[in-house]
Formats: sequence, C-alpha cells, structure tokens
Amino acid sequence: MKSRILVALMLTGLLTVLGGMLLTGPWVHLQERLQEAALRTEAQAVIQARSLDLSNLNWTPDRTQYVPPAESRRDELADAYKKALLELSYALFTGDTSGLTTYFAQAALDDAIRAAASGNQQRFVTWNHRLALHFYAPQGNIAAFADSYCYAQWAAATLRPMSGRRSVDVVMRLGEDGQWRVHQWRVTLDVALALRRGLDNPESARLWPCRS
Amino acid sequence: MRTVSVLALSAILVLSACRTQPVEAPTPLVGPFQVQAREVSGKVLVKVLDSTRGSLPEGTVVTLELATPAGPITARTVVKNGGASLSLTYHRAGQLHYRVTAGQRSQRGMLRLEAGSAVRIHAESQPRAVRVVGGPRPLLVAQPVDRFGNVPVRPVRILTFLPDGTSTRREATPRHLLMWTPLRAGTGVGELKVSVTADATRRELVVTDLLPGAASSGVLEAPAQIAWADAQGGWRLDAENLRDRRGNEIVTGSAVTYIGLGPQDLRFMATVPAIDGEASLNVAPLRAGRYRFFLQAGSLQSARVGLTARPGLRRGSFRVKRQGRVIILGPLVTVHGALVDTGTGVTATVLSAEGRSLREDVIPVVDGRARYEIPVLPPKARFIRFALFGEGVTTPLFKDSR
Repeated sequence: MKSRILVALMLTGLLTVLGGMLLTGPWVHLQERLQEAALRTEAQAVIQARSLDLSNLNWTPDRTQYVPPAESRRDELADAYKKALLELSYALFTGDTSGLTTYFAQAALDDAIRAAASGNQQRFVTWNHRLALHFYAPQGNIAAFADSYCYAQWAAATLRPMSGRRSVDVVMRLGEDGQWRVHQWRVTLDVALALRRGLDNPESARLWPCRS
Repeated sequence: MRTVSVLALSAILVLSACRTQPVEAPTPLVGPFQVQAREVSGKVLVKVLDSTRGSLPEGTVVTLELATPAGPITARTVVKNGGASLSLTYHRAGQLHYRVTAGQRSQRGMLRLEAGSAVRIHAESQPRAVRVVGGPRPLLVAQPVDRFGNVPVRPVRILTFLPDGTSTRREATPRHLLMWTPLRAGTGVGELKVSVTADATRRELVVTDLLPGAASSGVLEAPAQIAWADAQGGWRLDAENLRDRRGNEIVTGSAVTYIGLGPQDLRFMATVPAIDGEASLNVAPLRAGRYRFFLQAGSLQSARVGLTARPGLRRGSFRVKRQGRVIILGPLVTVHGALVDTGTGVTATVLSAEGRSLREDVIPVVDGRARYEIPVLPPKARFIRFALFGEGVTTPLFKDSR
C-alpha cells in the first residue's frame, strides 16, 4: 500500500511537470505550427479559386497610337499582372507580404502591404478583367493600361461582401531583373454592384454577370 | 491503479480547459444612422451619428471598410454617447468607396481623393539616340509623383534645347498616370536636351543623341597617280567629305570599304573606320599594271580612281648565275637603287616547252640575292621564270638545255 501511494505521488509530480511544459513551450509552439499549416492549405484553395477568377483576363482593342507590342509581349504583361493579383490575394489571406515585392513596387506596393496588414483571412475577389492598352514604350519597359473588372471583398469584420464594378488605370514597369511590376494604380470609376444571395461567397462571386 | 487514472484524467481536463475561447455577445439591433466622411491630408475621417435617439445602442461595434485596388482596409470602434468616429490613413488618389457597418445595417459612400503636389519626376527619352535623316522621332516619357507616389494630373513643363541653340517651351498633362509626347529633333547633329519639371520638383534633364545618318556622299582621292611596285612606296588613298544626305559628317567609327581591281584579275578589299568624316589607306602594289579603286560606305559608291604601278626592280637586275642545280639571282636592286629587302619573295615558275606552268615556288631574298635549288621536276619541264616587283626573266632550266 505504501509503495502504491509513493508511485501515485511520483506520477502526479511527473504529470504536473509535463503539463506545465506542454502549456508553456512546446504545446503552444505546436499549436502555432498546426494553425500555420492549416492556413497555408486554405490559402492554396484561395489561390486556386482566384486562378479561375482570372482565367478570362483579356485584352480589348488598344487605345494607343504608338507601335503596338507583339502578341508575346502583351501576354507577358498580362501574365505578370495576373500573378500580381494572385500574390495580392495570398498576402491578404495569410498576412504574408514577403512575396509582394516581386510583383509590386512604389505606390502599389505600399497599398498592397497596407491592405494585407489590415486584417486576417481577408478575401479580395476580382473577375471579368478587361484590359485596354493606353501606352507601351518603344523600348518595351513601360506600359500604361486601363483595367475594368468586378470586385468583391470580405473583410473579417463584416459578413456581407462589399462589391462593385470599377475601372482602374495601371502603370507597370519592367524591372532590371526582367520582372514586370505594378507601380501605380488609380480607381477612375467605381459603381456599387450587389451580389445575389447564394453567389455572395468568394468561390462563386465570379458567376455573377459583370457587364460595363 | 484507479488513483493513477483519475489523476491523469484530471490533468487532461485542466489542460483542455485552458484552450476554450471566449464567446461573443450577440449584437443589439441598430436603427438608421448618418455618416459624414471626409479626407484630410491623407486621413479618411468618418463620423457616425444616430439619426434618432437610441438608434445606435451604446457599445455597438462600428466598422469602416475601404474598397481599394489592393483590397479591403478596415477599422473598428464602438459607439459612445450615440456616435462613433473612425479614421484610416489612406493616400491613394482616385475614387474611394467606403462602407460603414453597425450591427445589421451598413451604408456605402464615395470620396474623391486628389494627388498632392509633385515632389519628384521620372523622365526618359525613348530611344536614347536617333538619326537626324528620318525615322521615328524620340519620345519623352515622364511621370511626376507626389509624396505618396500618386501622379498629379497637372501640367508638366517641357523645355527643349536643340543643338542650334533654339529652345521651345510647352506643357503636357499626364493621362492614365503617365505623360508621353514626341519630341521635335530638328536636322542638326548634337544633343537634344529636354528639361522636365512639374509643380516644384527639381528639373530632370533628359539628353537624346542626334546622330548623322549613313554616308551618302564622299570622294576618293589619290595624291600620287603613279607608284613603283617595289614594296616600298605605294599610293595613299584618301576618302574625304564623307557625309549623310543632310550634309552631316558621318559618325566617327563608321565603316568605309576600299575596293581595288588590279592586273591579272587581282581583287582587293579593305575596311577602315572613318574619323571626322575622313578615312585614309596606304596601298603598296607588288605587281606592275593598271589599278582602279573606289569606295563603299552606307549608300555611297564613289567614282573610280585609276592608278598605275610601274615595275619596281631596276632593269637588268635579274642576273642569273648557275652552280650545278642551284640558280643564283642578283644582286636585285630596286628602281631607287637599294637592295631588295631580305625576306621579299621572288616567284619562280617552272614552265614546259609550250609555256604551261608546271610548278610555282616563292623563294626569299637574302642580302639582295635569291637562291633557287632546282627540285626534282617532271620530264616536261624546260624553262623557269623569275618575277619580282613587275619585272621578270625567263631562262632555260639547265645550261645544256636538254
């Protein structure tokens, strides 16, 4: 009987020590790691959905009087813009802004970092992008174009999305590292657009017709 | 054993209790409210007031949400004394839609943000250098930006200085966040300097090189018409007045090609760089006869210049001396009275009785003499001909001419 009590006492002590360790160091750390992994998995789903949103990002007839760029150059530009929007969605959802500098610079980078820091798991969905080229530099290093699209945003603080149809002027420059970056943007027109119930979630908003 | 399991269970319970999350209180019902929004030096200020007393219950969470091109930016606060004020720092010029949400109600509005005054300007010309004889004009691309990277839609002042000293002043306003305008390059060669400024920015100087076009006119001249084919002298061929079609000297370093046609279907070509619209080439002929030279550069093909090369060896210089199977020539003396340079090659051609060439050798001159050791030859070989500087001598291979 005495030995039993002794064993019980020893076990209690051991459990107390173990519990204390779990509560402070490794347990909290493990929890953080699990949350991070879960967030990354969710972010992957977000990016996949965004790729679908941006699958029909198209050029419309140019509004430039200068030599139009070759089709391949145009694709390069649109591709970089698309990747920038994907990276932005990732940063807004995860709060990880480390990848933004690859696709944004100057004023647009400031805005992107500012928005990513504004909340957790924010969703910013844009669809039906229509690009119209205003200027393409003869040396192929500066492009100014207008982008018209529909957007919907879900900030963590509110349930209903804020959505609209807008036109944005965008300036992109080719960096010395061969990467096109969004440098400036300006909303020239924004019109409220209510999403129908049932389509007001980030996965299906793109099904809502967006016509200008 | 039971004690142990009880203890373990209680420890797990204690651990899991530490992880439960607090539960949020349900939001109270909100009535109509008023929103006043304005932008003051980079800050969006929003005031929320209850329309009727008590329509905004104390403690209600009020959210301000901006719809920016980079996504949402939000701020939250709670209602105090029937109102709330929120502020968000936001600098981007353009239309800005916002939404204020309190409880189940929300209200949307729009602000128009203007860019501040430009603090710096980015300008470049594309391309950096142009030809003044035509082709595309240089394009000035400029972008003034304010403190926060916005592009103000206000005139950019452009001051253009042409190489001839004239200057023009004009203004252009950025459209679509960028200003671009073609520049008038004129016809003179030099530098086109453009000073660009907006608001109170420092002047940005953009320099475009105005280069002459390709050569379209020029002359070829030879001061001496006659030269001796003695490997010493020769002609100097001067290409002069190499100019484009507007009369500008061609760019230093442009290629000028001399093409020469000589006796016995001799063809000759040499490319040299032009310097200050001129080029020069020294040619020493090794064969006597008539030569013709002309120039090629850009679209220019000059008139032909005819020149004469006279034999460079003193007549009778080819004295032949035999020592068995060895033939010794010389002493070989040039028309100027000097011994022919050591190392100069004398051409020795073995001929048949019909004059057909059977073999050709080049033998070097050593101390003014050339030594030819007769090799094993085909049986038809009868004569040998020596030639140097346009002079020659033909002699039987052997004294006892078989």
